[in-house]
Amino acid sequence: MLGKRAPWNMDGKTDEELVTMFQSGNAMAFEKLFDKYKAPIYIFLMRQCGNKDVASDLTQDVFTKLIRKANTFKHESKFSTWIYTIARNTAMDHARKSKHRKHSSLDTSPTSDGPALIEKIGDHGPTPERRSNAKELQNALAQAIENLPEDQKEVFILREYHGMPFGDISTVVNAKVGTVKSRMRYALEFLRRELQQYEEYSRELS
Amino acid sequence: MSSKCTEFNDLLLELAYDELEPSQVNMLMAHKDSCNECRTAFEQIHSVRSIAQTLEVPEIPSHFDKDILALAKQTAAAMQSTPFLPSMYPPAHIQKPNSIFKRIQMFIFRPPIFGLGLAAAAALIAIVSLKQSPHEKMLETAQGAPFMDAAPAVEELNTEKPQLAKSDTPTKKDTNPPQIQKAGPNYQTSATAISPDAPVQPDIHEKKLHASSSKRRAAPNRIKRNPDDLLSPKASGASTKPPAASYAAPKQQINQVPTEVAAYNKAKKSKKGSARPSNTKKDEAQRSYIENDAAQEAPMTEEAAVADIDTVDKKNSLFQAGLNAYNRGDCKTATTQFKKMLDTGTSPSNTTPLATHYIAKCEKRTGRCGQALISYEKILKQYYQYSKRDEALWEAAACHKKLGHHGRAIQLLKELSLNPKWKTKAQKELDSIDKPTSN
Repeated sequence: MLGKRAPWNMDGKTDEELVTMFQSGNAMAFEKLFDKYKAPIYIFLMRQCGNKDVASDLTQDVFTKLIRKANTFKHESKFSTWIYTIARNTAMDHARKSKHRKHSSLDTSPTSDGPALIEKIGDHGPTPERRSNAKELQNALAQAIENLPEDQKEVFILREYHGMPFGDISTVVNAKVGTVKSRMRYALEFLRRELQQYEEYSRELS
Repeated sequence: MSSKCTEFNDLLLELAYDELEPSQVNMLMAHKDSCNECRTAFEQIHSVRSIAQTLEVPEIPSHFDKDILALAKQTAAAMQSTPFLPSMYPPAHIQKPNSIFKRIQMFIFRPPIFGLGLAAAAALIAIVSLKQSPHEKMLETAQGAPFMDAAPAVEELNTEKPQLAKSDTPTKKDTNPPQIQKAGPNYQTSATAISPDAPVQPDIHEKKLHASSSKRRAAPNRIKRNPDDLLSPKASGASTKPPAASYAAPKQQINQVPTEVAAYNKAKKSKKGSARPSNTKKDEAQRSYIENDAAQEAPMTEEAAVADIDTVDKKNSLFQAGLNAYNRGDCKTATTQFKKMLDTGTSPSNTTPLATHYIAKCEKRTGRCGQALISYEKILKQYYQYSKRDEALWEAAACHKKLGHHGRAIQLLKELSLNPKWKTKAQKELDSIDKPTSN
């Protein structure tokens, strides 16, 4: 019986095989998938929406949808592409609903337990002392990523932080590979301009 | 950057992210070394990537694990009970054949399709055999139906020509048991059922006969037959069209069989005498549906069969009484009747979730949301494929909202919003509920 299969029997299974097992009624297979994807999906949504609580809620929504629609997975694409597509659509739906609140997002804290990003950066430019401050660089980077246009941001996040090939990203965002690469180039160019003052620091890093 | 170098834009990007094919790497590296612009562009990408990698990984909350995994287990259990649905699509590792015929063949012989086909065939066979149940076959054979080959018998049935003259005269095949084998698997089954070595029990066929009795009553041209009457020589006119299956039984073995059947019928009649007569078509349909369902179980003894019929009847009448009370607006009586119905017998019937739902509705109507939620949660947890699950979700969410359990109400409404029919309504309700500040 698939349902009674021990978890160690699932080692080495591909994501697609695990989905098939879940479709046959094996809850353990889903647990494996959940363990593998909960962190990446949460991070993706966290970087997309910039709020810890919202990202947590959206992650829950993504997995709920995944469970409900598991039977509709036709094995025509990779499971990773499928789950990121669900996550992206969930994030977009949320963004659409809270569009009117979007403009004030910088005034509010991106995390419930820390100060707002604008407070952390301040309205003054970085001093030479601050340039060496890794924390400040991170804040500036987070700010720059948040300022990216949505279509460039999602491509950048998926490629840079989730290691997704351009071909797969094109499936997730439903665009041509050329368009995806073009968005990525614009995103990199934008970030380079925004983070110009940290170039020296980046050279030290590399 | 020259116009020629713009062609390298995508390749530089792929090189920076290690997506470039090995054959192109050397070519691009050679170009990069000789072209300042491309070298600078590559270094800029590399520089941004170095900074981008410094971004901290956010901490992962774990509080949603429990909810999600519980839902997954629930769904997996539901999917396990409907094994045909999930594997409608072939796994990714199976390549689709090029030929259209092979694709069709692959589609037909895919387990769910093939399984459904087999199930449909089995159902068809069951309906056909139900139409001419062994009980009737035995009785008709008892009146002197002759033996003959299956082929002419089928032909007779198809052409609907009365062959009374021919069938009145027993042939040599009467005394020739091996001829039975010619009749095919169906006939062998019939022969086994009435063989003297295997005593006949008034089992599932008898119950099916009872279930289809409403149909027979509805047909005015058909003669209402009592097994005892049919045993008498006077009743020989009842069988003008000899059924094929009846030819398989040796005549001398029949006499002892209907006695048992008659005893069973007698016992059933005595039980049915006190039962509520079903007047409406709905009652008949409900009764026959439930009895058909029960008939799929293993053959049972006479006492057990009578007790089972009794339980089903009781459950039915209690359900009907509860429904009537509910429609009258008498929630108290309705709840009592439905609860009695649920307490009757051990095995759940098709109406169990519906009765539970009505109990919940009654409790809700009378303003006892807490009590209603016990029934609603039972439906949601136990009857995953209940046809009115969405309705139950909606009502349960309303109860939770009323009691101030906003978290659970939101959870149920979110589940409901996945159904396109309820999406707008659920979303509207979700918007109206204040979200709890912490999870």
